[in-house]
Amino acid sequence: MEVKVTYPVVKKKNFFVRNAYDLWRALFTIVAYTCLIIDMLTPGIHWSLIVIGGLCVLWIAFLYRPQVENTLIKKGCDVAAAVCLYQLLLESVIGGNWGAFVAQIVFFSMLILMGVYFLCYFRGEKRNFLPLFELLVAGMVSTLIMLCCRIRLSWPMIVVGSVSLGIQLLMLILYWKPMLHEYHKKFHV
Amino acid sequence: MKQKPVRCPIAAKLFTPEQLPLVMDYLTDVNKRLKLSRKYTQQMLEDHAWALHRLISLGETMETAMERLNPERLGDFYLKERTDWYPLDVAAKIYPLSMSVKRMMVFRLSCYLKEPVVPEILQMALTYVMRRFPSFATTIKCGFFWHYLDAGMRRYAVRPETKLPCAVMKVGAVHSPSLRVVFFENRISVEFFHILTDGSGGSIFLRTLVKTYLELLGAELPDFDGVFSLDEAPDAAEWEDAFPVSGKGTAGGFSDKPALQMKGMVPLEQPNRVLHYNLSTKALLEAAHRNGGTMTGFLLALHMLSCKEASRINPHSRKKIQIQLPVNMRKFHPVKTLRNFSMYTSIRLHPSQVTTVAEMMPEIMAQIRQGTAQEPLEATMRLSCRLVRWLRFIPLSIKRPIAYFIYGKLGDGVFTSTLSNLGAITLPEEMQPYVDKFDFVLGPPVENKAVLSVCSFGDKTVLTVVKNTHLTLFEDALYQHLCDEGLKPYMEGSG
Repeated sequence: MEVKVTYPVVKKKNFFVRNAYDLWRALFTIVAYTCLIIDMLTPGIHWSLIVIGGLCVLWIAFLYRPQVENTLIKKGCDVAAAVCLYQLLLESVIGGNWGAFVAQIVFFSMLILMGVYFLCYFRGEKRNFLPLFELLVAGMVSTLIMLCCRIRLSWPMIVVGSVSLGIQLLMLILYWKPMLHEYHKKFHV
Repeated sequence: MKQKPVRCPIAAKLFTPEQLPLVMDYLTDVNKRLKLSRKYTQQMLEDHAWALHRLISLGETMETAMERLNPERLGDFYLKERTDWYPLDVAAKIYPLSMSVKRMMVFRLSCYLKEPVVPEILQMALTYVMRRFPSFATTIKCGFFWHYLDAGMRRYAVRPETKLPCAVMKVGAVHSPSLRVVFFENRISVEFFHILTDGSGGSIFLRTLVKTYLELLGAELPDFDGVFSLDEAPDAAEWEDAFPVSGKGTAGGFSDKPALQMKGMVPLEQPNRVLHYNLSTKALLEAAHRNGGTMTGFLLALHMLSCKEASRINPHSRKKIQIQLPVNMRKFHPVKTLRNFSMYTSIRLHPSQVTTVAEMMPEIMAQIRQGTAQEPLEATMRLSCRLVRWLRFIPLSIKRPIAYFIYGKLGDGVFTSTLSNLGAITLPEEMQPYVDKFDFVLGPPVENKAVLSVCSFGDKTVLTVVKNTHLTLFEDALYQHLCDEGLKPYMEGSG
């Protein structure tokens, strides 16, 4: 059967460029498994968890690209969450009492950064507020839980709660109408 | 308010010093109707300058060219901030949940003109047409529970074709479009992310685009059914989710047994190849009637035979050849919606039953009649609606990985292949001299090795195979069976 070619010749990209995402994923997986196996065969602290956690943070920060809403706010929020969780992981592996403290500082710093960015570029960014909103809710809920359970609040945690509430209120005070419209869109069922 | 002077350096290169003042006045008028980002505004001004230049080089006077490219045609679509948004219809909800870097439900409709495409004019046609299809001028966004379509404030571009059909779209940016308009020689193609529309809605968009394009080139064409008039305001019924009209009743019809799969490895890059079998509609219908069936039934029979030859048959296996047959629900509910409004049925035969066209035809026709009846299709539709209702309060971040996993594992595993018949695409007599044919290409499947789509225009029917394997068993068998029926196809496709 003779076929007349009616499509342009597709320029084939280099194998490594074409499959970069899969190759990186394979490399990360191999490194993670190798570390895990070596760690299990050697005595001492479980250092492989630190490596695996670090790889996850690297992946989220540099390689992972969400297919929908691949925006700066989404990336910032994902990285903030990943770094905070990594602090907690580090603390649980290495020991000490600093992980949660540092995580809270990282968390409110990122919240301030993202919040300021969102409010400054509201017109262009208002459609991408969901990841920031989720982070704000997480901040407020965790502070509220600690208050309800009468856990002693450290100063960074108080800042986390205040910043979360503050940014949320600012959004509503400054942009009441467009924010309501966005909430309506984001929470439709 | 004082209008800023327009900057369009390309105009100075394209027009003579005598023409330039007139052109700059024209571009100022265009600029008054644009309130996009600086980049898009500049590009749209350049689009107008290029189109004007092209019409003049095609022999039109400056006045005629400006009249055809009247800035009033832009309306206020690119001027005011759009706040419209559209929840996904019931059928579309699965598509963004199941997509990946290399997998996306995209389909493509193409129109082959008798003359090579003029890209500058096509660009302007698209610019005008988008405002009549506001639900298509959107970008996909994440909600807390579901994805939705949000109005996009951008310029929609036509591009020369550089990839194989139905390649994955990048929809992640703030105003990424969910459709792609490309051209190659005399072919205008529109690729739609399935969340926007189905084949019927897509064909209305394509025909409207082609009609506008031809009118900009000077053709005088009447309004007709199947094309939207750009002077009309969009109607909300055009983007309603027509699924809930099915009301109460039994629900079911989703589950099915795993189907026999054709041989071959799925390559890293999909689709592997696209092939068009050009046939005479008249001859095809005659062959179908000769065998006692309809065109769909006849093509299903040939499809079954080809699937059998492309599969490794185990006589002891109970697995059947199961072909997915989409059905347009508009034939039961005359709705105006452009959104997805189709269901599907499955035509099943055990390989031992797949013998000759004439022998299979009664069974295939009986299954078609049964499967495409209103009641079973509406039962499936009701089940879809109920599933969506049950899942509505589960956050998207939980739903997505589960849906992705299930779709990847089961997906099209319950089918051997798909045959999607868009039917006859009609155009008014005045437009027919400009158009050669249409074709319809389905996106590459997940597990299936080949899928088939068909559409016809006048006496030209194009049967398209989208392949997902390097093996050529399926297309060779299909070609041979068509030849055996006296329907030697003229073959076109990708290299």
